[in-house]
Amino acid sequence: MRFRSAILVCALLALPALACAADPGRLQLPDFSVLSKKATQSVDISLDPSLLRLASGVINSDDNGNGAAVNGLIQGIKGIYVRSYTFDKPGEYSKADVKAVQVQLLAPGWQPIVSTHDLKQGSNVDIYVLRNGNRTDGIAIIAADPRQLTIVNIVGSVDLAKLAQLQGQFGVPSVGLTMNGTLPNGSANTQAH
Amino acid sequence: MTDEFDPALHRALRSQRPHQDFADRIVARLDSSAAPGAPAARLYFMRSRTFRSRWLPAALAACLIAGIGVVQVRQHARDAARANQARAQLLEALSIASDNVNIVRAAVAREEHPDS
Repeated sequence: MRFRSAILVCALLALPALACAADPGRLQLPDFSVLSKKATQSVDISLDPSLLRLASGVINSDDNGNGAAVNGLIQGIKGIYVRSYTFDKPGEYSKADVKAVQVQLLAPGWQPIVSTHDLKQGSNVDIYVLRNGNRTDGIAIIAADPRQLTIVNIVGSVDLAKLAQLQGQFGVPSVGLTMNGTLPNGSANTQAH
Repeated sequence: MTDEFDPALHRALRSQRPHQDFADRIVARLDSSAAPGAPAARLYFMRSRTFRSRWLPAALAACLIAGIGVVQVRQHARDAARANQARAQLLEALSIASDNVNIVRAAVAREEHPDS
């Protein structure tokens, strides 16, 4: 009886690991509820495959003809998870909050492809990709500046060039993260990996 | 005249015991008078049975169909609301991701072409 209970407990503990194994590109995003309470604006989006299918079904030609582009873009995506917090003053989140995500990106397969560090504004944007041969299994974007922390985890494969072209379309304005999409000349330190 | 009238009135209005067969006659009359009313009662009964055998199932079926319809409409409305919410979230997520990719692209472009 005790042996069976032990097996059951082990099975329950193994479930999250099995879930991760099923979606290798998915990060275990920490509970940012404390940040959410402190933030003036927060975005918490979790779109699993079923919700993506649902969304894909209603993204059609009424999106100024760009529905096909979005549907094409999300074709290889199995999930999108976004956490973004904007604060009214700097220093509201700790390095540990970012570290909790970064440490997962040290796992085999994850590669940093590009990082930008704006020394003047103290902002960083890092993009990581999980490669499996020629296949992309996941993308992680960590954008951190003194008043804003954004983490994007895309599970599956996505064309970053096509993703970049979507900015400001579909009636969704550019959210103006960190530097409104522009970097002051000479203040940014970019590392392409 | 008055002397004859009063005794006659007394005789006419005096109490009389009913005949022995009075009760039997009353019952017989009731039975005979109930017979013509029987078809009306039977008609009501038939109507009642018709209602129970034909209209009641039809009404129940109509209620069932209407109920299923209402549930379907509500489910559809819920699904549509969920889909629209998912669509909005997807577009917002893509917008955030796109913004950050463009920040990096802009930085990379500046690194590659510092004069431009």
